[in-house]
Amino acid sequence: MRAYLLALLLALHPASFRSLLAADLRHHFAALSAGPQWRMLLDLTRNLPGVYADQLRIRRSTLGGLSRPEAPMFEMLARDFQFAIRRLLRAPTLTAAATLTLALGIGGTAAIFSLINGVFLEPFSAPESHRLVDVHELSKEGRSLPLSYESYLDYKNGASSFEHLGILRAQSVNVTGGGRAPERIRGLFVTASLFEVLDEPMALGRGLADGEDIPGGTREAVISYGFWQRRFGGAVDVLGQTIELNNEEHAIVGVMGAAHRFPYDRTEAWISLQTFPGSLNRTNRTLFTIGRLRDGVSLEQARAELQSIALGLTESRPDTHRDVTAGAEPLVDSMTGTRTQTLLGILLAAVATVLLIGAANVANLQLAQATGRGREMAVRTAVGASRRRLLTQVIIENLTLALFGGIVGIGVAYGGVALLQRYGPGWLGGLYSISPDLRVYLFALLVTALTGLAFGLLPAHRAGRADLVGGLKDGGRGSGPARRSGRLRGTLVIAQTALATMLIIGAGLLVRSFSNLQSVDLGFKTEGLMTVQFRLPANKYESNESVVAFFEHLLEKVEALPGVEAAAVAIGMPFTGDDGRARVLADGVDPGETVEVPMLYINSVSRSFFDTLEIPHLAGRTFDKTDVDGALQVAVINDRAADELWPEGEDPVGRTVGFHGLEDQFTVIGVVGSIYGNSLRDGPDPVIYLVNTQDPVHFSTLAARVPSDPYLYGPKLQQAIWDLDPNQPVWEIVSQTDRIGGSLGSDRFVARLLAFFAGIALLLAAIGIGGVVAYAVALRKRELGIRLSLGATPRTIVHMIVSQGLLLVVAGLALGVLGAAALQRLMEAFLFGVDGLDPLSFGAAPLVLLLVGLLASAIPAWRASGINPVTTLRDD
Amino acid sequence: MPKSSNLLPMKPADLLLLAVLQDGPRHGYALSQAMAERSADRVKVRPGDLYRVLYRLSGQGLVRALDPAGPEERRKTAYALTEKGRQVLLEEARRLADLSAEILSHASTGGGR
Repeated sequence: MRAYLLALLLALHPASFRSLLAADLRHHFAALSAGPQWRMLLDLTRNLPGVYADQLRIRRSTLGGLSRPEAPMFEMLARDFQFAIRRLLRAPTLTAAATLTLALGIGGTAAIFSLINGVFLEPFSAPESHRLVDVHELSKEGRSLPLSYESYLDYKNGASSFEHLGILRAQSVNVTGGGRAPERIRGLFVTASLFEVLDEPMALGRGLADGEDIPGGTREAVISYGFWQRRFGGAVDVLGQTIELNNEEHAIVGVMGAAHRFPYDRTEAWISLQTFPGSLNRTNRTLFTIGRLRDGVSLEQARAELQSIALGLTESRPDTHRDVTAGAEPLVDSMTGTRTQTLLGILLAAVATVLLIGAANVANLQLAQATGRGREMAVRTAVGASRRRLLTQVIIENLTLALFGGIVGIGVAYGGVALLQRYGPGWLGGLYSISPDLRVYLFALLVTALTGLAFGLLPAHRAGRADLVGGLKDGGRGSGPARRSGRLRGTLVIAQTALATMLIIGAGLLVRSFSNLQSVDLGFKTEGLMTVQFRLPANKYESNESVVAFFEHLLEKVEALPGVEAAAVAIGMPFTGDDGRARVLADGVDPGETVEVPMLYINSVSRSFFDTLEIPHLAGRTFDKTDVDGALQVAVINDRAADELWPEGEDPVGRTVGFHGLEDQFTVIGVVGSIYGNSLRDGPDPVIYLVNTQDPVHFSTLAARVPSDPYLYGPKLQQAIWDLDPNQPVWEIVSQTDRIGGSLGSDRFVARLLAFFAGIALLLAAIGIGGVVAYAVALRKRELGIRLSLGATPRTIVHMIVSQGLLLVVAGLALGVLGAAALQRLMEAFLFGVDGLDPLSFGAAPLVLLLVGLLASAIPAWRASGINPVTTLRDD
Repeated sequence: MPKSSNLLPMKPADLLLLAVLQDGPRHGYALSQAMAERSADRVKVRPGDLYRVLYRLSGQGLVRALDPAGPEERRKTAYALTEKGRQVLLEEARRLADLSAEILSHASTGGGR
């Protein structure tokens, strides 16, 4: 850090300085301990303008006294800069306060900008990532559909807009063998062409080769740099070694580059798509396709070409492609989504508001000083300083102050980003590059300069209009100019109160919304439920019977554990995000093209599922031991599904349901209560439950109902699985309450961050209000002294001053409430169970600010009431 | 002859640095140590200021850098007095001596108030 700063500082010195002294200076620096090193860095910074001045002097003397025309200008700026630093250091407390205020704003803005930078501007490590696009088909309603393998081939062969097209499908894989504990890693099932789409350098070896990705090809894998380091200790001879993935030997052919980055995904192994079960099924729409646009081909051209291919498919394959078109959008857009974009937009707006409020405080401070410096300015004008000169000087002072704020702000940004990564929602952690980079520094520099100008221009304008005679006559205490500046400062206080009001209202809305989300009744009992996940390898448990037997044994074992009241397995435990949806046909009848068939959730569960989760049982029966393979195929549905399938309110028990494209019919034997399974916002989902003895699935979550702290049971559940199969990886050992908490990550994050910003805004506004009132009191000391000596009581003085302060606050409040009301539309996407014009938030925020304003102006007012008229009047 | 008159009077730090270099060339770190020692810490020249002084003096032609010697990674630059530097130093010393003599003579005759 210090060496880096030294290098930076040296780079700022003239070349002649560097060539003569830099090498030695570095040696000297290295010989010092930390304290003196910091001292040296500070001294070098302070001397920088002087060094330039020396350089000019030297050059001038070697040129025989002739100076180049630009020289005095530069020298003057250097002198102004030095003067500004000296002036700022002379009032260390004020400077530190202003620096901190600005640093919070600038640093906060830069930290949020780092997120935006990481999410939108640099999300991929692939070169020229703007050419990466998401290729998909579009339904009649414009919904984006994944491709089937067959249509992928059609687009791949037909479209010339792309250099390459590739498929990827994320799914975790089990890593076993090698004499180590089984582990589960994130896998990406891909076509070989994906490596050409990404076009990234590999750390070792190559990508999957063409031909590997067709059935019967050799099994090969590419592993991530991190996995290579972790599992193989970074050994160079890793190429050619094999690794057991999902119980199949794979030869390692390559290691991905260390810098590889793909959003929301920490892939550790790339495996050929051929090994992904069912992926090559030609009619299954399950594949995520990305392409690399040919250089010079626009997105519109690519879209047009894809659409013409889709048109051909509609004719040649009407069964799958009726009313289907094709589309493409930039990969960044399709991976982030509008909710994230809105979220980051709100955060940036909030933090920028804090910056503005802070800048208003600093501007106020400067205005106060400018008024106080009326005499200095007047003297300088009198001895011949031009107005432009004074203006330049004031602007340089402000830019210098902003620069202080910017430098400290970079530290704030670093800390902020670290905090965001640590406490932010999970998807933030998935982004590799949210640490501040050059772009973020440039942004911070820009913000700093703009801030400096924003709070500097008003005082500069004031300085430029220095009133010569008045300034000299009344010693800069000022009546005329001071009053004008008072109005300006009042306006600033109104503005910052308005901004703070908006921010506090916004934070109030989000906090209320978050607490509503937390208090939703989910339809099942979440407390005392421990869950773990596992996936039985399909090549080890090939028959349905073996899967069923595993589940039966496991549940027996778990239910026998002391303390466990009930246990169940299901593919879709609530809030795991593992669920399938299908078009469900009521009474097994396909209504034909004209009627929209409902898309419902399908869950395969053990018969103990409803009792374990304590889901209410409404009609008919639930699954029992008679529901086995070969018996009548049965289903339990929840009341939301019943409403969707039989909207007339008929009794569903005894009716049948079928699935689009499947022969089988399932008889509905019972109805249960609906539960929230995915999102607290979207309400309970309509679900068809099948029993896992008839419909076994390899992927499962095990849940156990326990009487005390669920985490005491985590290791026991894991051991129960290992007792049955020691090679079985187990993951996500999490209580159900934490699972739901995790799904609230983004909401909690935004609510907390905004509440934090609102707190800072409140504090800054209080300082602003208090400062203005205190300054007004100081200017009117004489007047107040006279009033007091003429018989005004301290009470009337306090009353007078406080009411003047509050007038500003009330004006700001009114503006702020109006502003928040105007902006409520932006917030609505984030609100749950709260109206955008929520009376509580809109009422409480102004009240809080009013109280703070009252307090902030009461303190100086109370001081003023204690003025001793005799001393004040004698002071002059 | 160099026009040294416009370089006088010298700042204490400049004078001290030139005086230390009278004993022979030194690199930065040794220079700062010797200066502290020589002035018994009465003239404070912090490391960050030392290099500005060196830059100024070399610009005025009073100090020059010697070519670095020694193995690559331990290479340091040593600075030496130039001929002009030596003359200016002596001139300043003479000026200071005259000044002191003058003051002291007044002190012995005038005394008190």
